Amino acid sequence: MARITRVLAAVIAIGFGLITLAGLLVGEGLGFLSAFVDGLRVRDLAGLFLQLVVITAAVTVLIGVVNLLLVHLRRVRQRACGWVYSTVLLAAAVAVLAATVLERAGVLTGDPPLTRLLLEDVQVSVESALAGLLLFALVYGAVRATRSQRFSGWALLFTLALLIALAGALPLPELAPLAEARSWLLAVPVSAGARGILLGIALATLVAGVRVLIGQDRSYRE
Amino acid sequence: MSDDKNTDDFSWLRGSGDDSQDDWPEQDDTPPGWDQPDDNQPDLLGDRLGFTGDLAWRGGEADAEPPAGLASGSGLTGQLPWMRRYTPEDDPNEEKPGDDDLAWLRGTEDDLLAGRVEPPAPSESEPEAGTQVSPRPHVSLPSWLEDDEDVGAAEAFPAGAVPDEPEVVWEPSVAAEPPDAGLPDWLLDEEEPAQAVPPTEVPLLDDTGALSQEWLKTGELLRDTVESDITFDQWLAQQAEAERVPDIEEHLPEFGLGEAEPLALDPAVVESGDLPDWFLGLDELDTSAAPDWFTGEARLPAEPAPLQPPAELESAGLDEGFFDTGDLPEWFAQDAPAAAPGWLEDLEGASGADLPEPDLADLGFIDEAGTAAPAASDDIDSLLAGLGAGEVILPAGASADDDLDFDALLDEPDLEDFPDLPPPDEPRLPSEAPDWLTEMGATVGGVSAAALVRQREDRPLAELPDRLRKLRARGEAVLAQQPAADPGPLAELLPGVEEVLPAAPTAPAAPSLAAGLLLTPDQRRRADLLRALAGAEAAEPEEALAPVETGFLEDEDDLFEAVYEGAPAEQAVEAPAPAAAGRRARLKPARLLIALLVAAAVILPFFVPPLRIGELPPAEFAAGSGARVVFDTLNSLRPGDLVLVGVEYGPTAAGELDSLTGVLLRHILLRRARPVVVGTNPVGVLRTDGILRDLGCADSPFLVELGRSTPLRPNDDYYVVRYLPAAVVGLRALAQNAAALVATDLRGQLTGLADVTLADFAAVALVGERAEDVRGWAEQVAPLTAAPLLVATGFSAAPLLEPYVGPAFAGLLVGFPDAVTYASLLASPDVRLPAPELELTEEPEVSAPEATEEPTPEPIFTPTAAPTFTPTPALPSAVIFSTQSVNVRQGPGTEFAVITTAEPGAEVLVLAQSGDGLWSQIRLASGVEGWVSSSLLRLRPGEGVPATPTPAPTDTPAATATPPPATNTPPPTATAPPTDTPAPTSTVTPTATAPAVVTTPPAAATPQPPQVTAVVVASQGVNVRSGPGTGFQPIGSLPPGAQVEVIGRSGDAGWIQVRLADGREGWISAPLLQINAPQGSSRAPDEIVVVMADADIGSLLRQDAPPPAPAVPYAEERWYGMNLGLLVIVLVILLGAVLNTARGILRRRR
Repeated sequence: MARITRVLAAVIAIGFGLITLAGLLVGEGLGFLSAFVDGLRVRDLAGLFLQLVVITAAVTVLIGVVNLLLVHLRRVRQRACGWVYSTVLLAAAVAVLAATVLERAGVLTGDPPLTRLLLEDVQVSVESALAGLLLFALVYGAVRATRSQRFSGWALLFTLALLIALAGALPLPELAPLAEARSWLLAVPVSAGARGILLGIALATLVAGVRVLIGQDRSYRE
Repeated sequence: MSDDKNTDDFSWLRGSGDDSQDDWPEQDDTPPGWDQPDDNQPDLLGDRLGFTGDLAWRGGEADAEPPAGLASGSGLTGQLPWMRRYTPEDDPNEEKPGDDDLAWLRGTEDDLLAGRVEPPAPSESEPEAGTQVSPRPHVSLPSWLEDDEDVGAAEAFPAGAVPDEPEVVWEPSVAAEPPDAGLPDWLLDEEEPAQAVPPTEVPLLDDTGALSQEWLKTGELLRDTVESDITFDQWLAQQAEAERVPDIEEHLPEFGLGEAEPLALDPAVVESGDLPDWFLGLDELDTSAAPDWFTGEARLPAEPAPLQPPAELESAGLDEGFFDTGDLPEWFAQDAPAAAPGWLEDLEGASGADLPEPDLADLGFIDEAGTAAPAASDDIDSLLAGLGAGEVILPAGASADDDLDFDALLDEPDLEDFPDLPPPDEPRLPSEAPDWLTEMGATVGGVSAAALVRQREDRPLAELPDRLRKLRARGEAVLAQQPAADPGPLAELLPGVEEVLPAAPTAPAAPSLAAGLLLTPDQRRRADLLRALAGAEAAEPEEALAPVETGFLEDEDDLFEAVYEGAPAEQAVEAPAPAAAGRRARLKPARLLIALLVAAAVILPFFVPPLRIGELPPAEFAAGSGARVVFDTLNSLRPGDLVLVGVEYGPTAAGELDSLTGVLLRHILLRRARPVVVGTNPVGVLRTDGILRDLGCADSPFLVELGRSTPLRPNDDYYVVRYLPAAVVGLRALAQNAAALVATDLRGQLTGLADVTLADFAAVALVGERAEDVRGWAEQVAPLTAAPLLVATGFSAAPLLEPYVGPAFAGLLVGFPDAVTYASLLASPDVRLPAPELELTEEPEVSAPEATEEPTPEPIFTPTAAPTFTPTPALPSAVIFSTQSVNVRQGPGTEFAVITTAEPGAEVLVLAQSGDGLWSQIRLASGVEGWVSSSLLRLRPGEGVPATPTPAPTDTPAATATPPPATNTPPPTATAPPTDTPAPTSTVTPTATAPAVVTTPPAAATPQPPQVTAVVVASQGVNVRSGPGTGFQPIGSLPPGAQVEVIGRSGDAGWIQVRLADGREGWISAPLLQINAPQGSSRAPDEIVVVMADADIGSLLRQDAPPPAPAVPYAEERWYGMNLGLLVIVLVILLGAVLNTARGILRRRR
């Protein structure tokens, strides 16, 4: 039974993938193939499959949220390590959920709404503050990065590029040459490197897709 | 072989005459004749085959007659039947019997003797091979071997005791000598005096087929019957040598021999393996009459490579009759002879002390110098003794007198006894055993002795690697330092018992897997040694024995104490000190200092103006730049256009991207377009919904900019559609089927965009945090729409998105500076679309205001106490726009009771609208009138909402509506607009509304706004700029003292907007002007209101009206804070790099 399931999963994944790929490839500019394509309605079928994927992903997110709550609930019941934090998480989730439901039901009619207060004044504030603390960590990390056992040319190049990128962003007339250097740095080597990275990403994505279509990569099954 | 005698002394050796050579011949009891003295025999020394006992040349005994029956003569003349059993048929590998079958007796056929001893010349007495010889007569013992007092040999060997020699017949390969040929006379019978037989070819076998005596006498080598390289004797000699065990006599020196004279032998003469002279006692013998074979004069056919024994060693050969049992001397017999042979008497009194000390160097086989060459010798003993000469190394301390104890030598090879060997420190691989030991071939238990010696030798210390050498030294040091293990009291009572009995269970101090192992004291010592070598803290033996204090081991602990008296008492195992909970992290000053510096640099510019360094962002984007493209693209929007806005960032990037989102939305709204917000990040979508609500709320200053009095309505003015799951797949789905995804909003309400496709969007604006999200939009959405894709992102993702600018992105905004610049551009007058033309009704109570070329501002409508309502001829119709039934209330508010409900899509007539525009009075088809929320109504195109009457309409005098001033100028007081825009304007919604009746102004004329003027107080001319900042280009200048009209000010009141004489408007820095008091009439006692033509957009600029909120809050402060913080960060990194580089250089120099 397990073997049948694995085979069936692979058949479904590969079949749907090929149909979707065909539908995406089929466009309005295929010329003589459009007749066949329209007749097969492959493109519509691909669109339907995409809609199904969107719905499935949404349900998956919901399942993930439920699973996460259950995990933390289990941790609280078992008094496992960090169960206090799990309790806080569960309480916050329940509170936000209840507030949203009550607002939608018209029970809570405050202005601004409670959910928005929780979002803006709690979540956004906390996450922004944590992101701001990253500044100090990055600065100290940059200072330590220059501390190397062996001073090499690569370290010197890295430090020089770092200083140019930062100092060139200062709107000081005295640092106008650095601003120009920074502009060149971003336009030429950084852009070239980014293009290379993007090419690599595209090729890797292509290979990954082909692997799934030919059944070599079956990460969708256990 | 005596050639004088024809007697067959070896008749006992002959076979029974059977031709078969497998049968052993029946021994003849006749004693050999060689043992009979024969004075007539010549004194022959040499390699004769044995001796027959007839040693007449010895003298003194010459008269002794051999006993009867004993053949006298030269010795062996008979056959050697025992040799016949070696036939080619029996052993294929066997060599054919040579001519001289008795060569081994002489030692001539031995391989070792090859070359040293010449094979004996064929003797006439030796029969030819295969020649049948006649049996020899019985030989009696020689007289010299007899003792007068003893029993005569005849009695010892009575006639007939020795059976007659059988006759053996074989055919010799060569002519054998006559049987008696070569035999010494004294070995022959006296009756048969030796006759000089000329050397002739004697047949090997006699007529009977036995070995011919004559041939034997010749001493000729028995030749092989088949062709071979070696003779049979040689082969036998090889076999014998291979299997023999060297005799001790080979290593013993020759005593009393002195240096013997080399034998003057013919090369063809066989130098048989003669017995040493000392053994034979021949040193005093008169060998003048000795037979040839005895003296070594017998001639034998030349054989290749005879062995040369040491010259000093001489030994008598064994004659043919040597093994003739009939003639065996008494000393040769097993039984002790009755009388010792006379020749031995010479040696009886001899002792080792009488014998001269041998010279080891003369032995030949002992080479002290290692290069002594063996002297040639023609006897076997000297030959054997000379084996391995120059290769044998004996211990220096050993002497030849000492018996070599081979076992002791194998057990403990003492290298000190080998001074010639290289010292142990020198590398000597592999360790060598003495060569003589190797050549001995001795084995011990199947293992070579030499191998044992090599194995038992320790590996030299110099060969060990450094690590092992150090470990070895450390081990020795640890052993030396390690105190002797306390045996304990038990060992005193019973010594050695601890080694036998197992020790008590050991409980190590620290729990480990090995807890409870039983270790003997020796094992404990070894374990401690290992721990010491490994660097681990070796526990003291006492501590190791300390038991763990647990309840389970209580009994064992008591037992431990009882048994081992004096052992350490229970030692409580102290639990390791618990680690201090929450160990305080050591504060690092460097990190703290850096954090404080950066924080101060970012915060202080907010409060300390002198720390505000750097220039503000430019007021405009560079021409042709990506940012400029974004602005121009959005600025080209037309009212009502749909703009797809993608929000792909979360709270972490809110600080940087919220400003960009705000300016984009503002621009879109200012252009009267409708943003449709979607995103794959649910938090981002929620936040954008909040931003829009803030912008469009009733108290929002943005409404002023918009020229609205009513807040923005969701699903009307903007659409916050949904969160798109599945990331890139969701985008693809949106691109392919937008209508399905934008039909409902975030709360499930219908958006009314059911028929919208991607092509219906005028532009696509994206605000993304990560490059991946932005790339997804560029790859999935942009290709399927003709609308330009405008991207706003942060500094981190900007470099990775640069390649997309152009092919995929129409424009790109990066970070906070672009947001500030964008906000400054939003203040330009051409950004806002003009308000729709006011459709003013020709009502007497309403008079159109004096219009100017400028768009009219948004008047504020203030309903009077008793407004009147003048219905229009045609009421506008609307449709209930909702997904569910709508409550129809009694009044414009939720506090009013519900009258009825209206179904979705129901057509109603709009009767009026409340003052704030949030509620509308409708009339249902049933005729029921009530109030519903304005957001739930959709007016028909071209319809207008009538004025909003009050719930209690009363007759009022005709109200006159005071149109709002046509100019977009603020009130006479210098009330700056809330935004720092140069021209605060207000727009009018396209939907025209009926003019509203406002309060009745006093009878006085329309009040004129007071004019505010200012005077330039600078000492020199001042620039009039196009905007409120030094970054704006100057458009003119004013001399000191010039008076200008003030028309506005910036948000921070640092810049004043003025109107020049030529009508141009510009900005001057506030400190450079002195604002005069407003001139003109004072403020009217009544409130100045403006009748707004459009109730929806009514907004009158008032003196105390709050300034509109800036597009980017605290833009300048934040900008200065960013600059100073960035500068401090650069300095910190630079300083750290310099210090670390210097530290690295100093460390390297060290």
